Amino acid sequence: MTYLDYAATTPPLPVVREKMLEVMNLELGNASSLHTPGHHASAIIEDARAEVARLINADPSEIIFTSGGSEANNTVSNIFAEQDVATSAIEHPSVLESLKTRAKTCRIIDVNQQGFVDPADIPENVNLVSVMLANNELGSIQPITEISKRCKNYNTFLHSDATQALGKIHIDVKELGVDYLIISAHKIGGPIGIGALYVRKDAPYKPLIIGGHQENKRRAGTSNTLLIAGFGAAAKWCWDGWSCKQYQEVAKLRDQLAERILKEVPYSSLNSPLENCLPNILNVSFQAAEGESIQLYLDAENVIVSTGSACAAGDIQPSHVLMATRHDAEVAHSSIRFSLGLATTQADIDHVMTALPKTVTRLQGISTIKIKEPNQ
Amino acid sequence: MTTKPQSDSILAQNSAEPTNSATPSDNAACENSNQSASQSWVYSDIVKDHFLSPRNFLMGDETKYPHDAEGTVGNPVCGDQMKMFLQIEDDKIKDVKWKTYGCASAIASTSALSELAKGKTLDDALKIGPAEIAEFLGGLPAHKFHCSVLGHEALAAAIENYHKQQ
Repeated sequence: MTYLDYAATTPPLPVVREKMLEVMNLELGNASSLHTPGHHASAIIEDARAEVARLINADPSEIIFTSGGSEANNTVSNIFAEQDVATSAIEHPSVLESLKTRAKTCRIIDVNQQGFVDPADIPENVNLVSVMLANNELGSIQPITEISKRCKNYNTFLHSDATQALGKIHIDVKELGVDYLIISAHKIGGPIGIGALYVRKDAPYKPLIIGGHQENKRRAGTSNTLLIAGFGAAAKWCWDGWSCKQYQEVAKLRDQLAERILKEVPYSSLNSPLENCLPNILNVSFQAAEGESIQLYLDAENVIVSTGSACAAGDIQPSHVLMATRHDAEVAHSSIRFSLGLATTQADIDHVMTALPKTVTRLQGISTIKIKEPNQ
Repeated sequence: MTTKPQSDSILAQNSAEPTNSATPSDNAACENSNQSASQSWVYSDIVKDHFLSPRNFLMGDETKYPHDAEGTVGNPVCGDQMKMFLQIEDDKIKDVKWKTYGCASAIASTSALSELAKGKTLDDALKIGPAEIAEFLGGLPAHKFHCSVLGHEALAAAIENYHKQQ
């Protein structure tokens, strides 16, 4: 099987499985308990917190473990409930919908056709700006450092969703100048169900889940020792293995895939920028061929890809990200996201290029849509 | 990839037995009760078969298929569009071909409908409702049921156009 849906989820790393098995075999108590088994659990959690913090250059005390990225994003939007906020048009729904639901006003910042926010578009007079570090469907890396300079001038807090960027590009919360940043374990080979929220020391905070003193009274609920240990192991692996450097090799395969698709698949066009883009993501539209059909024909040939984002599966609305960049529902419905991982090989790219051209050509052949020759 | 099947594939006769015997109604078709955890796709095996080996599709230039009537419904902007082409003789559908832009269930719905409609009188063909198409396919996920509605409407549009021409 050629799995090119790593942006949806990444299988657990061997070191993560080992760590989690090891933890399951220990005699551990509730990490909040004062007795020895409780203390052992607490020590495992604090080790993991230090690993996660190091990966983004935060202080461990600034890391709050959550059930994942969505909870972390909801936590931030809840801090700014009934306040004025602004966010980009291409955020994950856990940012967009939670801000729209909770904020007093929520301004939407447009992006250009390549999927980039222009820092000049950051509004004044809002309490929070939320712009993701890299987009999950396109891979576009946002100019967060520039945006944070503006936010500081405007006395605005800045939140960034770094779920897709983690492990792929260097992340330093101090260089970025963010007040809040969220990450998730399963995008870097950790377990599903655990994420973290970075809250800069002195930034405003209010827990989303109340009723317990865990996470220094910032997130109630029994600490999930097992998943946190797995997250810590994945973070350590990224740090020790220089994962960002390894992804530079993945970028070469991604670039090759892009080049071959444009050359070998008729009427294809790139939605992803290839510069200032995550090394592993490639989003492409194929004229007159619908995305889900392409995805399932490829599935039948053991090539696993996604249409837009996995969260949109089962949703018949076109991707809000592609609508924000290409402004064309037909183009958005006709798109596929390829997301590569560190295990992706040349043979995988060759496999895609055996299956994809005939799939798209066939769908174009039975399509009601007349092919438009691209404008010169 | 599965090779293009012959238009008059007999495969449908064997594989298209409805897997649940619920009375045809929109609700029954939406319930998708034949689904099981072991099934690898969100769709039934019959949908998968009609998607991977569609019957009676029209590949390429539609003007090369002589037909007496055609009907188009849907909009690519909404994610699916279907077009039915009919050869009609003595008020009977002698042959059907179709084109579809859309998801797997849209392709499977048009393929299934083409099998159901062929050989029927125009009046009988109009009675092939969305529930019958969905049931023929072994059920459709609730959020894909509109594909069978579109199929029904595409055929009805073609027949209506035929009557207008007469």
